[in-house]
Amino acid sequence: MAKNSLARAEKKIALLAVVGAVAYIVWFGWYKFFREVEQPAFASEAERFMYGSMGSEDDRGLPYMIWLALPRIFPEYLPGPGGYASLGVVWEEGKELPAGFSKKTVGFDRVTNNCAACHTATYRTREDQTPIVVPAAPANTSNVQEYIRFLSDCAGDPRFNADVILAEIAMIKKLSWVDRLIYRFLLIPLTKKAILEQRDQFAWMNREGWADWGPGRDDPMNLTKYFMTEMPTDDTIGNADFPSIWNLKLREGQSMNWAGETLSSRAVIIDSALGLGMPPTAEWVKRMEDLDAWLKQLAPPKYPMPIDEALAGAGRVVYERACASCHEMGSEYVGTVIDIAEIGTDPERLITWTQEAADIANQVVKDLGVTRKNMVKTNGYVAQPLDGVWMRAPYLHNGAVPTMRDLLEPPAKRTVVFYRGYDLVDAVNLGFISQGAEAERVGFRFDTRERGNGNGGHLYGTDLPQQDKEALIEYMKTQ
Amino acid sequence: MASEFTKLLKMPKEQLDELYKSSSAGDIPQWGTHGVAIALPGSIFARLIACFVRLVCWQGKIFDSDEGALINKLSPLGIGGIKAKVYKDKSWVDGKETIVLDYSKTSFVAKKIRDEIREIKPGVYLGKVWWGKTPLIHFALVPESPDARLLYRSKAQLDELYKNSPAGDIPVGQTRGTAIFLPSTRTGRVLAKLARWIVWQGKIFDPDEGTLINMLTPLRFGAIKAQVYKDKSWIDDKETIVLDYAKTSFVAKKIRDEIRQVQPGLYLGKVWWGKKRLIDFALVPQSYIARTNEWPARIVGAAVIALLVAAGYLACRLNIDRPVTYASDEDHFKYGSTGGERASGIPYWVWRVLPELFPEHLPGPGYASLGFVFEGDNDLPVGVSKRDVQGVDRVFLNCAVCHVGTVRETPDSEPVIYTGMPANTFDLGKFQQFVFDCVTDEKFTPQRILLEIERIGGDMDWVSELAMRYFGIGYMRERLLMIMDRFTFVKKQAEWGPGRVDTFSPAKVLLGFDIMKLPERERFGVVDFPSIWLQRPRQGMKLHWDGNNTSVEERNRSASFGTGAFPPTLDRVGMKRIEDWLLDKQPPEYPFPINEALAAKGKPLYQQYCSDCHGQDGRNFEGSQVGEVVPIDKIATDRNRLDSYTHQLAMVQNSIYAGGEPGERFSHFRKTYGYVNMPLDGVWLRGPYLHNGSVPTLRDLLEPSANRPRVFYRGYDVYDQKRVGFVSNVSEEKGKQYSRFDTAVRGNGNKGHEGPAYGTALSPAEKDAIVEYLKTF
Repeated sequence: MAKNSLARAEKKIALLAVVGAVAYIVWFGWYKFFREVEQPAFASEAERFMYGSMGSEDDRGLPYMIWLALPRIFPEYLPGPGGYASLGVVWEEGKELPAGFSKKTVGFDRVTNNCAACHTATYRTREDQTPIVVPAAPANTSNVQEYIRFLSDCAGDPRFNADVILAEIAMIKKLSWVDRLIYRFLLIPLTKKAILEQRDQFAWMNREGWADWGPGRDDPMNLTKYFMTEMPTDDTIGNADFPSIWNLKLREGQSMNWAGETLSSRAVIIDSALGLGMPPTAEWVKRMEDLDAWLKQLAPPKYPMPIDEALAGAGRVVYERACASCHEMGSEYVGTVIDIAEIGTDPERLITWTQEAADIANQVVKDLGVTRKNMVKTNGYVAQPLDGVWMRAPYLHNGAVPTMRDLLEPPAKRTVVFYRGYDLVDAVNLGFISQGAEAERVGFRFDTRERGNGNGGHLYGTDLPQQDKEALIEYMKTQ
Repeated sequence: MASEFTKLLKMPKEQLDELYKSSSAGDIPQWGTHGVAIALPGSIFARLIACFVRLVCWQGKIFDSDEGALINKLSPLGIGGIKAKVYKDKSWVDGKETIVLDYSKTSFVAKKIRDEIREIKPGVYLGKVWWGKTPLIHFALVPESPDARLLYRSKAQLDELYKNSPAGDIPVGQTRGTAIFLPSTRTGRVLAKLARWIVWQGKIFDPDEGTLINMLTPLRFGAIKAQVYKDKSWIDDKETIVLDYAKTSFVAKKIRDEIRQVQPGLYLGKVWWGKKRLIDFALVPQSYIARTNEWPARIVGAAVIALLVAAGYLACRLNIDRPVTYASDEDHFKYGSTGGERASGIPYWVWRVLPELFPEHLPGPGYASLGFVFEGDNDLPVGVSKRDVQGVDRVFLNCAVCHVGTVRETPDSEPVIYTGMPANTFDLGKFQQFVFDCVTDEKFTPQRILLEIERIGGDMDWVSELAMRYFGIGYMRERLLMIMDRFTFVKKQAEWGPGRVDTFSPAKVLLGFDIMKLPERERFGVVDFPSIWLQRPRQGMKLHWDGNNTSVEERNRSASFGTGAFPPTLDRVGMKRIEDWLLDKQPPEYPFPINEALAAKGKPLYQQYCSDCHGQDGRNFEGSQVGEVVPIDKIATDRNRLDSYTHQLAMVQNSIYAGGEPGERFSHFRKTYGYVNMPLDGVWLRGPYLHNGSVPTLRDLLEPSANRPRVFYRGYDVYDQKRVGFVSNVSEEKGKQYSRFDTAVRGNGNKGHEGPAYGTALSPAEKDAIVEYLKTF
């Protein structure tokens, strides 16, 4: 009797010990790999836009310590000295991460990207000035392609191993013994594997003879095609400028994307966010709605330098005569697709998207259980409202024309080669300084003769008298 | 025996207690016993624990009835220790009689332990252990094997036993042998074990041939044959079994043994050499030997213990992290550690021998020739701290190396040491170069260095020496070569000279910037060391020459990279102590006479021209522009330092100290576009002047740049009381060369801070008055 009860008690204790051990292991695994910690509260919606997580940590989260160590180990894979800053990312004073980069703890600190990576920019009005950050502006200096290539090159290097990376982390942070094991046997090899897989998925953009995106651009519809619809690689190239995404209330009812493939701002936000690796949860839908609401009312930045009001007034008259029918809100063509035969700009971006792609993409999104307006196939480019246009240079969908003045020249007289990614405002020509020693040192050499980079088309206003052009440029500063 | 133990281990605790209660005390055991610890009885862990205890700590007890005591067999080798008194008394369990093993008076470590045992069946004892009044575990004892128990008998007892025994049957087949030297002593028992291990394992009897052969060495070589027959004993003439080597062995031919069967399965033997009695021995036929071979287990146990001890020692040693500490804050500042030795430390003895081994890389004798300041008989100069890391004393630089200087009144005076002033004599660039020259020298080998350490009498323990020989020195070389590679840019700069450093290029290096790919204008940021006293009133001011940071603590952490302290290695306690002390550290008073009348004339001039930017006086830093940045176009001093600090660097510095201790991450760095207005506390010790130290004296600074010296010498610590600053026209003294400073070199420009607003248009008398007044700061 006593023996029996004793044996039972002992079995109980043993069972409890086993259960306890298993529970601890489960808890430990959860704590180290899955424990989700809310990001610290953001001071403003703009901060949240620039540094908030989009929830893609599971899919795209880079371990923060590895992210910190990489540029110190592999500076040669960056475009120049300066760590991540050399990629032209926007980095506010005192902030831990550049805009467009989010840090969130899911088990361990993970870095992901958000909308601001492509939609936050800086400008300066003189060289001796700390850059001013404009959320929702086209990221004119950020070289997203080089960031992807940097990670790929690092992961492909034999030095991307636990010894080298842990030695560098040892100069940053003291990791516990357990964490070192976790990094050595899990995080470092898994990160390497994930980046290498991503490198293969991006192989199409590194093909011989394919024009680089350069700062401020990507290949949006091919990204959608290859990642969302998983269609096979084709030989199209559709490099296009990042658009501004402020003031979206203007765009209600208009066609979105350069060629008008998407029919509402919400749908663009949803597709872009899916592209960043966000899982479509209820929380996510809420975030999409918040984002859409905030971007709808976000005002475009005011031109930061003096404007000659009289000249601008004269420019308004020219604008109303030459431009308003397509670009003024409420006009006949604003927000509609202008046929390629009419607009005559580089067609490559248009060609990247097909009806088939649209159908598949719509199905994929539907299958995810997300409701949004369907994508379509068009045959031209959208005439856009010009809010904050001074901050949206270079111009045309592919950013092939550096300044407003250049855009008002006939294509034959437009600049053939210029430099992108230098954020000094060009008050004379309206746009950013795109020539000269500093622009060359900092910027990316943009050759309009490369495929997809054509600077032809949009001949409107090119035949205006010189003083009308001057006036029009001045007026554009007021937009 | 093993089966008895197994049974007990399987019983639940209650049953053991029941068994104990139902048994009587029995006889007090005699001689050696095997023991087993019974913890968690009945559970699956019981046998594991029992095995483990047996392997590594306790094998049983040896009772000595004459003394009424016992000792335990401890460690894998069964070494005797921890004594207890043994007597019969009332049990704590049921008050009935029991055998008590009482450690209270005989052992220090076990004095709180009390055991009780009762004989639960013949020869098997069950025991209970108490610690104080708390019952702990059970244990059991059984007698050792009969041949082992013979070892506890005295010679007389053995002889007695022999005489009283019959010859018995001649053994057949293999027997286990035990040699009995020095009977009944501990030494005898050890010798018996050794003999069994090394020399003699037993005998094999061949009944057909009537012979035997001995098993020698652990490999049991069969050798040395004897004839076996019954004959009369030489001891008592009665019948015995004789083992006769005379006709069968050459080496042992003088040996004769006799054996008698003292109990079933045990023979006691006597050995003669010629007619001389030698030792006794015991034989146990194979069939009586329980098939347990404990030795492999014990060897494994011993190996485990040895490994644990070695690992424990290494773990303790690898965890050693002990800075040398100082009672006074000032000494802590001068010699205390910021943690740099943890990762960047140079082993103390290597530091000591470098100047001995590589004098050709130094400008003069010893570290002093690099401008290090030595105090009294100290073996280490000011600014070099020592810390024992992993059992090796290591040294590295601390804050004081760049912020302690000396002043002499005349060339013949003793130098006076001032803490917190810019290190006017120390040449950091030359020191760096010296270290690089050493590690790239072919003499930088473990052999040469260790030989030299021995020559100068270095004392290192053998672990350190081995570590240095096979790892440390190679590692140090590799690490320094890596750093050297990243510091290539220094070679493109003119020699820094004493008292100067390129502040921000090392930060760029840390962050992986390839300095040589930066635009040229960003590569020449060489500046003077600043004074670092009176930090409290500077909190919130723009700090560094260009005012790029407003946090004193962040600025300090940034500077401590220069002392080798990285986020994981910074000694936060040591650093805080320095930091706190510097908050209110007062600058030293001007030690030479001041012309009060002249100074009084200077005061209103100072207030008119200088106080807005530089504060009311040496302690009152009020002024509308104090601590603010003056745009470069306006101040017009050399802009190379300004350009060396870029917005890009400020961006990336945001990730320094990231991911570690909360609140430490850098977040105050800002790109500025000019130089900052500094308070002038202790300005008399802060020459040469301007951020790049391009103007030797205050009086020169009040001249337009065209009249300032174009070339002068730095590093000389004799004071110029007339012009206020250090004498700057001495290129050599007693064989020591001073550093030539050419203002035409990039980054060394002495222009700017001039024009009527800066006082350079005042009359010479007025300038003299201002300079005199500044001595009071």
